[in-house]
Amino acid sequence: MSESVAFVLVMLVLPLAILATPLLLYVWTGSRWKG
Amino acid sequence: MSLDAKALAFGAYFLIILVIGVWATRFSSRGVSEYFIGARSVPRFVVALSAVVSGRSAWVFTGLAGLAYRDGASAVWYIVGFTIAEMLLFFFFAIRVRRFGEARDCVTVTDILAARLDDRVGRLRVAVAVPIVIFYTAYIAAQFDAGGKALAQNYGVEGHTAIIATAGIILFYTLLGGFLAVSYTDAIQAVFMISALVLLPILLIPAEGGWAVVVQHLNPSAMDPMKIFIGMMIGGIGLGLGSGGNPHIVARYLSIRDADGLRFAGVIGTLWNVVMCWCAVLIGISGQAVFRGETTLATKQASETVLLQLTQAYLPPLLAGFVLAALFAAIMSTADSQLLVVASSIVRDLVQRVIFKGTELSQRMLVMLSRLVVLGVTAAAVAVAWRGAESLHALIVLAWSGVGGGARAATDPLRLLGTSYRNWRHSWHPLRDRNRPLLGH
Repeated sequence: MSESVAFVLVMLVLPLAILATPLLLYVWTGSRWKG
Repeated sequence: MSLDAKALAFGAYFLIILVIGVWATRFSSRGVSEYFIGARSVPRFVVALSAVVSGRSAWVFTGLAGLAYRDGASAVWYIVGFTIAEMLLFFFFAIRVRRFGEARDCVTVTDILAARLDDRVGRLRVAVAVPIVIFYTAYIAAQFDAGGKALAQNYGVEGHTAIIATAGIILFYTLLGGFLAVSYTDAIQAVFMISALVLLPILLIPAEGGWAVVVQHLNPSAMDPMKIFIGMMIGGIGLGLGSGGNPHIVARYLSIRDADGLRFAGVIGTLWNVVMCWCAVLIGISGQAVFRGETTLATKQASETVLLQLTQAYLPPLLAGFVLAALFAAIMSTADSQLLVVASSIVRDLVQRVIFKGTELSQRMLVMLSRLVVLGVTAAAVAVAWRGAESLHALIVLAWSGVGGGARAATDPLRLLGTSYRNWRHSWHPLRDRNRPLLGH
């Protein structure tokens, strides 16, 4: 994988993936914690 | 940037802080819970921003941008480490702390440990509270010194006057408004910080001829995100997990209006961390193109001024003034939180729960005592900062890292197990119940 592709991945795709994680956790834990 | 714009921005910022301090006074005067954790009624959005900003503070502007300037895109792995760690703390640790805190009427981290480990005599309280008081006071002194230096460098105020001014501003709103004032000023600071960090690359990159031109002037290794991967990740995870061990972060967990709101706070906190920190990395990397061939920024210390230099060069004067004010406020936000931690350790843990155990003290009297302690600790910290010897601060940092880190390393597993232990409603003691399993029943 070329460096420029890796750069785009960590600067654009990685932050979006991390932002998606708490949203998934929010949905997943919703039913768990309210029980 | 002219001094007028800087002074105007600082004046406006200072006015906002004063208004918040005065506004929160009446509420904070009702009792210890109101003064130290906002009576568990702080909105989730404010808790999210306050927890993130208290953990990051001025480091995003200086340390992180400098790291990206020196090591390029690898710096993102540091962010990945602490962002994920803090997010998991919000979802799986903070909620337990908040629920336990409400069930057992805990106001401080010492309260939680004492309740969890059934400390009826008060030895544990003394063992935890006394080191907190000593080392946090020393740490506050270092913050006053740092704030004084920032004020002296950017606004031309004389050294000792700058220390007094820093301490005076912090004292004013912390003494009056307590936790509520500290949290709301943190939230406003978070908005200033994110605005500056998003706006700067938007103005900077086109001014340099676009991203294609910036890339041409980067060091070849800056584009390689895998240059330092494992080390950055481990360092970031350590930083993130450590934030849940800080008494002032635990106070934020305890302060939220409802425990379930910490899930929302986890989403907002992560959003803020990601946007602020990725922008700071982008700014640091772009700095390589702007300052290409600049040898004066080669050292670690000098590289940490990159973002401030770019702020002054590319942001409009008034906004740049606000960034400087936000940087100063970031230093203040650490000191104000520490002041409340020291005061709560003395008043709640030592006076109310050990010295006057079994005696009913009025809430108004305890708040008055808390305010006196805040005043006294501020005076003690100013006295330490006044002497200002560099070696003294080196000693403080060393002591803080060693003893503070050691104490936290000792208590963190207890806290984590204590909040995860299924049968937490019943008291458990590691020495008394040797045959009882730590986890699971």
